[in-house]
Amino acid sequence: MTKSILKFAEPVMGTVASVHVVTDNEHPQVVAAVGRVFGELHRLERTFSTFLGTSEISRINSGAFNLLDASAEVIEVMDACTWLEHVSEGAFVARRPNGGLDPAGFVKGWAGQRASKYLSEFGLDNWLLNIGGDIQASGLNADNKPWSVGISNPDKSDELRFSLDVIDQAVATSGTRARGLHIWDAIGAPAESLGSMTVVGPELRWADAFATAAYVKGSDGVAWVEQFPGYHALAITLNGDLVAPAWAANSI
Amino acid sequence: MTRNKSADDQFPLARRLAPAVLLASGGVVFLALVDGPENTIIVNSSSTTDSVTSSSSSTSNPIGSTSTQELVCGAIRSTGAQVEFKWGIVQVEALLDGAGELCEVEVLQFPDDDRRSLAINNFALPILHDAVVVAKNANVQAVSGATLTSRAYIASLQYALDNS
Repeated sequence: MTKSILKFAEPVMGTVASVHVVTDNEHPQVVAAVGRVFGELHRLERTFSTFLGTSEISRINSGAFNLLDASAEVIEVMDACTWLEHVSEGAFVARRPNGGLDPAGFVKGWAGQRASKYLSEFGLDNWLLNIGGDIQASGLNADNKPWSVGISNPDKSDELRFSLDVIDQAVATSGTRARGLHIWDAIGAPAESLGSMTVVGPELRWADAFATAAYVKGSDGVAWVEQFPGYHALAITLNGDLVAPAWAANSI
Repeated sequence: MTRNKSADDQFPLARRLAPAVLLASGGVVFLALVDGPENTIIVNSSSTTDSVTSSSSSTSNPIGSTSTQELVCGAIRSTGAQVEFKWGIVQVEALLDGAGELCEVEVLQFPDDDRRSLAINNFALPILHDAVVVAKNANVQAVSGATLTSRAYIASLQYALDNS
């Protein structure tokens, strides 16, 4: 039996967040939960955006506010960023050349995962949160099947190169296409050897950050991601070929 | 600042993966990664780069495809939700024929601003292309790719998926 699905979309963090919720009949509860999700994303954008002069990050960078006095959320994010810079051997960057903080490469995924908790708290089990192509999926879709996530072709964003069917997994893709004017997702100077890098794993905050770092690492990034239990990377080369982990490469 | 405490603690979920390969008819390879009952990943990969990927073999050439059937444009209509941007509200409707091919896109709402109005044509073509892809990828609920800007979202496949 196909259940009904409610869809919501909201511009935030320089992109659009959408939520799909599979539901029976508790629509007011779903609306309330999704409202909390979007509200949390806006709140975290106000805290972390480097485009807003009033954000905590901007005030730290301008010297108006001391990092030592930062909120627990900023400390948590910069703590994770420091670890990511270390474990990626510099491929992940959360600081500008002048030393200023720019944790955007971690914040979007982290914020999405954090905001999605409201869906669980409202008793919703089957949903998909998508923030500009970074996805956290929970449970099953309206057809009682795994959520199916299409991975766009780097050359032609409106075509899908492959798709991933996932249950309780996050999917994030990093690439140069559509980075455009918004630096919210633009980290450092990426290697140009790949079209895109997709990471799938349990948590969106790590999937997003690993995708960013692995993309910068190039095709070596696929193997690099394998060190993290539960996380896997699939890259699309500029020629459109698929690069998969060694244990899977022979199967594709 | 303490170092990597929170991050290191986040990987208790190590599970052995048991790769399994299934060959499906139609030349499509399914790569299934079975990671416990609640964590399942399946990769559906096409062998060519220029065709739209789906679980069954699909045809490419989404824009220029022809049909010998008499099909009425607008047999299927998909009205998108109103999406509110800082510069105004946007709403589009996709008209498809009986075979699911997109034949027309109507912009129902767009900010009444000369400069913005010029952008309608720029939006319409990508929407047309994307909606056709949606029609051929009915099983996909979301698209992961490099991050779209708010404006690019309007022209994106994800927009169609969020509003179909």
